[in-house]
Amino acid sequence: MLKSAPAKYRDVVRSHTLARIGDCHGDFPKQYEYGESPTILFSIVSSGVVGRDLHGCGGGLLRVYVLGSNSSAPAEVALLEANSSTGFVDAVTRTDVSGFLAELYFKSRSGVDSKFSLLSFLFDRIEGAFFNRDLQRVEALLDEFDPTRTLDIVSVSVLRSTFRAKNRLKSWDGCLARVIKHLNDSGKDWKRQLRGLVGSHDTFVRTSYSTVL
Amino acid sequence: MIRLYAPHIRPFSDVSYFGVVISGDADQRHIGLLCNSGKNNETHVIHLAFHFRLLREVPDPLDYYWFDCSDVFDEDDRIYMASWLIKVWEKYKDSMPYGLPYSSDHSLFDESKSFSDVSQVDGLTCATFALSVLKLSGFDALNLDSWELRESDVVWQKKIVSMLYEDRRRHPEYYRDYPVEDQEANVGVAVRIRPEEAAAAIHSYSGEPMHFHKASELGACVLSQLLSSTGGIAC
Repeated sequence: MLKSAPAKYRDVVRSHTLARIGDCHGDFPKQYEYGESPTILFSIVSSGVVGRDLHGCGGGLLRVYVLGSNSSAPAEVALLEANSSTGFVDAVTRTDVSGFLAELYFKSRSGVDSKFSLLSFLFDRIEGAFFNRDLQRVEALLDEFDPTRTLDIVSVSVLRSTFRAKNRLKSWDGCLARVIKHLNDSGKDWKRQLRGLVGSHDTFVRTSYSTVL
Repeated sequence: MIRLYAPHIRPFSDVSYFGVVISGDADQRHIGLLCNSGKNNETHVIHLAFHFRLLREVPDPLDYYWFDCSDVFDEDDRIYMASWLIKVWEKYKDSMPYGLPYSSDHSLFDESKSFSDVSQVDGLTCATFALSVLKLSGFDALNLDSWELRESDVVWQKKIVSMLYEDRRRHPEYYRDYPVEDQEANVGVAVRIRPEEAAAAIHSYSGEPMHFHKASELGACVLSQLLSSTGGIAC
């Protein structure tokens, strides 16, 4: 579970907090810096042990505080906790994926990265998950992916790069439905953009197409 | 209409993200995929040269002819292909097996896995690698169920098996888990997709897999252009 963070910190927290979980060894709290002006300070506190060690964190509870540069009073903006180690791992996966997607959306909006670079960033994550047999992470990404927050090419590429595993990814059809709806709402030729991914023979199209639009 | 370009007529720098190259002669052809990060950036060819050698190189203009994919794939699709192709190369450049059979039932790829799971016994050729890169992304260019076994392909398959044995003598480190002997069972059994047929199918992709007869016809067109050594004669 991730408590809602103040809007101005939300992407930052999602993008960077759980990436730090590999640094969990040692004493807490730990502080990290993000950005240049103003610098945002993270303080991560881990406590509680559920049983399963996760990158040395012990699992259980992870609290994330964010300090503004002019603030001395930390505000807890994110809290991860679980009643079981599995739940914790799920929560970590979810939050990790959320962080990745937040960064992906940010990069999409900023326009700094070329489309080519943006896709390279996306494929590093997806191919890495496939390479590590981590379908859960691909599943979480598909489940959470929001086509309204990024470029069309990214939305289509999420589907194409996971197409080969769609029969094992229960979130794939739902992601496809959201992408179709967004492209259709935007007046795009989604049948052309999704060529090869959707066919008239496809069960999804036969049964769900009408409800999607 | 398929039109092959010789690089001295139209340079590789004209490639817009994604294209196809083909080289060779009447006996042996080779296909690769071109990619760059945008027009006027350096273009590379990514191709399965042989067992465990998925290469990324600057294409030699004296070796290759190429064709543009701009009419077939929209810009976003070409950017996707180029970016993903490079990622495939990064991950599997030293582990992509070479092999004769190619199946239409996805058995080559456990759908939850990745290129690294291509069976050591199965493997890919330069042509089936090019087709697989597209197929895994939803661009299924060839109707494999329509494919026919040809006597001339059996001759080629025997030659490839001999080359695998020879290559194993030179590079035994590539063949620790790869029994070349198993490939012999594929000779005369596995259908062969020729590089020019793969090139033709990719060039003419329309959203539906191309039938054997059409691919053969267009493949012959590609081959005639290649052998004319002038390129640029569309057919």
